[in-house]
Amino acid sequence: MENPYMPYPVRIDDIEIATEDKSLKTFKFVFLNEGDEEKFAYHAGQFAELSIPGVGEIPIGIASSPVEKGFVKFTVFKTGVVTSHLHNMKVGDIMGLRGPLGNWYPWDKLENKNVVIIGGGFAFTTLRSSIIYMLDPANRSKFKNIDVVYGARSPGMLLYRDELFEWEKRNDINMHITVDSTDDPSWKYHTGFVPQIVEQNAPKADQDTYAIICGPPIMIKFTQPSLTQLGYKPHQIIMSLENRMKCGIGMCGRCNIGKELVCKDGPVFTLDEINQTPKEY
Amino acid sequence: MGYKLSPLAFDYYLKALRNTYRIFAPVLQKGKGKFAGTDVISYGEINSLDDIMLDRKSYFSPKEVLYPIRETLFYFLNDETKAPAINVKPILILVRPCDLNGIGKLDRVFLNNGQEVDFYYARRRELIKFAMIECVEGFDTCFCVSMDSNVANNYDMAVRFDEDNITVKVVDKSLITKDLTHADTAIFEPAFIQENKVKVTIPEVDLVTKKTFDHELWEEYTSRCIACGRCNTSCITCSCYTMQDIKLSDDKKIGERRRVWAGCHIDGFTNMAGGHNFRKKNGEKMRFKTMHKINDFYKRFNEHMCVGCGRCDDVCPEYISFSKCINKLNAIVREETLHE
Repeated sequence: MENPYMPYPVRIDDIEIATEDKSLKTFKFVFLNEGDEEKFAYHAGQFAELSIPGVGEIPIGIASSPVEKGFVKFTVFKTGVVTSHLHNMKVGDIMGLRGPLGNWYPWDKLENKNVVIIGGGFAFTTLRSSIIYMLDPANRSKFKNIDVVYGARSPGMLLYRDELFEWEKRNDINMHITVDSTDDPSWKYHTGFVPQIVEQNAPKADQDTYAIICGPPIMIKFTQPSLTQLGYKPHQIIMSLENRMKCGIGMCGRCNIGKELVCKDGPVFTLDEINQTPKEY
Repeated sequence: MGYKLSPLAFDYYLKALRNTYRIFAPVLQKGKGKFAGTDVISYGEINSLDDIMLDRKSYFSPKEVLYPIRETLFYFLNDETKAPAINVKPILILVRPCDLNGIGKLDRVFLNNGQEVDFYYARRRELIKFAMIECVEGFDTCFCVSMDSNVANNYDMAVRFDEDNITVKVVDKSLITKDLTHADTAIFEPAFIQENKVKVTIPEVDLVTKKTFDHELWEEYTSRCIACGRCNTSCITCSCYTMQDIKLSDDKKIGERRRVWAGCHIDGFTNMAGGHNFRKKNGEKMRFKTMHKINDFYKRFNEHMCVGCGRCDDVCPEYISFSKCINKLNAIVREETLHE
């Protein structure tokens, strides 16, 4: 019998400080056992449990993309017991990885559609995974226009800066990078909060346009009216929820809201689906 | 086929079964009650008929036999991760029909809720056979008939306990020993309770709306519930758990990962790193539990989760009655529907 609680052993291959305040680090893992990477085949939008023996497990969105092979990446905010411990670990340390877990952004449904990606702060990890996936030469033709609105407090708090600025140069993706404020005179992108940048720059909705939105609750709350104004219907707004989780496979009951188990039925829901649940997220 | 046994003969039968099975039944735990000098009835291993407590409802359900309160998932030793072995001697549990149906709900959650099967639950569940205690009267707080869980047919044997004799119906032939074949045969089909003192009416699943959610009814529970979680721990169908990692050596090379029962009424159930908590008020917890037991579980599995054993009513220190809550909710839903 398979034990779904058993993590795959992984080695930390690289650690990168992701933001100027050092509160986020990107961990690159490689699988120790041959064949585990294939078993871990995932879609953009899924998450996994990072397992540190004797410390605990944490559910984290997968930041690497299914089209990137040989490793998996997670960008982790230092905030609790396990994440603090993880931030102190070193390259070469062995730990565990359990997953992939949950559903993913509805890639089949998004084919031949315009996709607008809206992210804020450090909730850009599975969105990075998605952008890399969509921009892959094998996939780009499956999607129509791609727009990205991504904002952070300051330029130094933007995740994956090198990649952002590279995407900015491409003509097959429209980047709208913004910061809340900056005193950097050379800053050549937007300044202002995400909802406002969405209102000014995101394409108007038609029935072939979908928005994927990830960010802090306050950003999501204020971005919804902007999207409504642009004509997006609740079924065209796709979101990813974060709830308390333990097992990640629908057993422990911790992430349960209404009839939905966020870990198994989610974390990706349309606003339509979320509106059916009590506001317990 | 049934067999009629004297108490002494039944004891010999139990003794024979104990060669193959560990037998669990409601037993009196001396001095383990909630007040000093009081006892509690909960599930424990038995040796003889005298150990079985039938005149009162067990305070805790039999779920701890197949789903322990605390269980080690893994031992960590250096970079090795290993699941512990368990006692694989088969188990026979004496349960009432409501609990047998309740275990069916646990099976749903742990075995039939998607691709994954809960390894730890499954390997214990495989060891278990059920001896159903015939239950025709129930107790003061039971409402199994309303919950459609008064009848169970998936038992391996059924037992009727009378004053002078015990009648046994054996379905699983492997439970037949010489002690039975030498006993008098009897025609025995277990009867089931037909009416409880407490009755509930479940509001129709689709009629419960977000409006019901925001009803002031739940405020009452905010002021009353103290989030002790007794309703969760005594419930046969509550299956939520938390996970804990423990270091067993200073160099952090040895440790274990455990899972421990958790309950939606207990503080911290929905706490997240960074200070978020999405169900803070105790009334919100009561609402979550109520909806889960008689509404949301149904949407997933087409049957209600609550089996009406009434233990949550028995154990609540604040005298919150779940059956009353269901009936109040039903009245509210009916009124809301009338006004629309």
